[in-house]
Amino acid sequence: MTPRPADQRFDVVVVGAGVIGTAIAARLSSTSARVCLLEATDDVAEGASKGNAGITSSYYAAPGTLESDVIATSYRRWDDVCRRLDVPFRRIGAVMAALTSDEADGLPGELANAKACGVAASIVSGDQARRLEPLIGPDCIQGLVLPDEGIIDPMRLCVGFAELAARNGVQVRFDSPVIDIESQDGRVVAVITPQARIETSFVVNAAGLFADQISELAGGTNFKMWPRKGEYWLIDRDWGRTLRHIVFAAPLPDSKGIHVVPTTNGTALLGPSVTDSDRRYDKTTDAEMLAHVTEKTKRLVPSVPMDRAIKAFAAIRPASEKKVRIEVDEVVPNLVHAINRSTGVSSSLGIADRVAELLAGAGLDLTVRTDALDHIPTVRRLLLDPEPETLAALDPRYTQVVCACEDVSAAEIQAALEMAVPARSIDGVRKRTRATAGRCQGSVCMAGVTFMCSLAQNRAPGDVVVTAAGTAGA
Amino acid sequence: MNGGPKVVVVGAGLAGLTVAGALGPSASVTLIDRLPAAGGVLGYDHPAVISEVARVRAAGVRSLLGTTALRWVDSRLLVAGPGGIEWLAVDRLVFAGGARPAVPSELRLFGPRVAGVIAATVAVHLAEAEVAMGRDVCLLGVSDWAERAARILRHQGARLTGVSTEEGRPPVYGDQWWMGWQPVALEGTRRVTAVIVARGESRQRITCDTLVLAGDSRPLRNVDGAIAEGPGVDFAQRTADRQSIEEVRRHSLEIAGRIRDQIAAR
Repeated sequence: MTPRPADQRFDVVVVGAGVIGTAIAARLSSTSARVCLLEATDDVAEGASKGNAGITSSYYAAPGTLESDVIATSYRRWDDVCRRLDVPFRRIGAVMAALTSDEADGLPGELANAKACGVAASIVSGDQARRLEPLIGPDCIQGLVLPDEGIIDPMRLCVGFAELAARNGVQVRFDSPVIDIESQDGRVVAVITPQARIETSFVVNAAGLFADQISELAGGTNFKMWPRKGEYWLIDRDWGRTLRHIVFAAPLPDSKGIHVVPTTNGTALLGPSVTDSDRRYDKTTDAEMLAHVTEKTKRLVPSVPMDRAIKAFAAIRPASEKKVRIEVDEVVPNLVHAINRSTGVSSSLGIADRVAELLAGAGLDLTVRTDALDHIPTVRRLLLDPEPETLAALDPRYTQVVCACEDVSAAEIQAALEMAVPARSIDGVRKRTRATAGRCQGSVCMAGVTFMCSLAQNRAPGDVVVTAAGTAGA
Repeated sequence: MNGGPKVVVVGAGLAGLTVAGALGPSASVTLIDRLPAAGGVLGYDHPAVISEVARVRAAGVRSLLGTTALRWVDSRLLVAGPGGIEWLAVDRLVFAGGARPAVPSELRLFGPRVAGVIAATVAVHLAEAEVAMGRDVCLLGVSDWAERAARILRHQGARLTGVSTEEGRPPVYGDQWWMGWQPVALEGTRRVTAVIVARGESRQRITCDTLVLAGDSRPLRNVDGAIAEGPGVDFAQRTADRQSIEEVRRHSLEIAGRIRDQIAAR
């Protein structure tokens, strides 16, 4: 790999380091294009890419739509991509459980759609559904089985994409909100952040919830994004591990269903609720909404132990008039939009390919480099390693367990602090290692993680950033 | 005793020391602690700890300090410590890993995700490292943690407002207490700015720049496979926010007695 010199002149500026922006940066990093990835916050995955159920859908939208196309070009590739990018992934399959005859009446339509998308699917009886997933409750009268659905760690996916991109020479810049965009003769010529004026031939708008503002700054198409809030419960691993499949509620015309989703680290997610609002930063959780999630979940999977809930959180998805917008702007020929409302993770690989095609079509040279990396180093993890007793010889810091709930060692935290796109906050460590994310929510280890960040970042413990929202001390 | 069933006690605080000392004569006991010293929250130099450590030594208990127990699978316990990462053959596991304050979801404390909401256990560590925690601190709960946090935060010059769901006389630490009030929601956009507390139909808003979670204690559980009750696993952990040394000792001896009886019956 030949590192490119740092400069203020790029072929492509990608705005937004969520799953779509990082996937595009990773995709372009294997080509001759000089790429800069700009992120307004202090880390990857700070928006919808952090707060989602961690599902790689095989089928989601009606056949023949752009959304189903980009999902279809993504879903078979996860096993390979996740191996190369050190991302936890398991193709565990899903059961869509119909609890009423109305819901069961909708399953043949779902089956036909799935088949038309080329996805494996079959309808089974309630008993067969329970045999497949014993935690499904007695109310289930029929199920649609989708064996190719998978679960993924969406934050580690963003980290993996960004890490590959950075190692291939993409400049990744955090704390760099786009505050202005300069145009000339109807084309974008430079992107302005508080720190720099960055000249570029193309801008890719992967700003998610804020994509409308980027388009406006660029003089592009006028559209509107708004936040769709979803609230989730996170249930502890001892129960979560007994759940072997994703369980979807059957969708009804007027309501999207609740899911019960095992995560790659063994916990389980329940949710989401759905609330449209106009407050883009509002991640408030609400007792009533969460009670509604609990009630819906208990009908699907009655044994869910709510006394093992370790966290309730709200996530914001970017909603818009168009569900998916992957296109060259109607007005500005060197502005490419890459926005998806809800299936961002599931479609990220397909979107990255499509954006590359659009850029090439608009005249960008995307010669494939022969020296580009296609993988990042794997960090072995104490929690999931099949041979943990061999780790001490590899690095003695594996014997120092910092987060006892999630079994995260000092070796793993140090790796997170030293990567090409390192953790810059406690949340950054949490995304990369799960330290502080367990049942005690950092009650024991957060001080230790703070001190490790303090040493690695050469700053006082009081200046260590906890979340993008601030430090522990006032 | 070197023969007999292999028992591992995880946690060398007062509870774990007491159980290990009591079982030592009738089983092959190993005592493990994450920290390199015994004593847990009381500290290695507490008189009760010193006398239990002597009893544990006399009972021939093997100690693995600075060692974390990770997983319990099929009568094997995965541990990581200065000796490396290894599987120990274990017939019975006694977990005495202490307690922690309840987290927001356990308190059903909802609202925005804001900075400045911190467990008392962490607040104390950070304050000891001279991190300035806040000027206007709200303490949730009456507990040993609340008292320790109050002492060090007061030293930093913070104003302290306490909230407790318990009725009765307020503790002596803290500038003001809301006794018999239930915290129900947080406010703030980036950093916490207030806690809403409820009592019946009444609601009050307590402004603060830091919220220290210090009550409604929960037993720590962090050995995978031994999170909930199960065969071969016992838990010797405190059950209330405040427990006297005598109560801890009595509870631990009860558990040890039950295990000893079961061993003898085999």
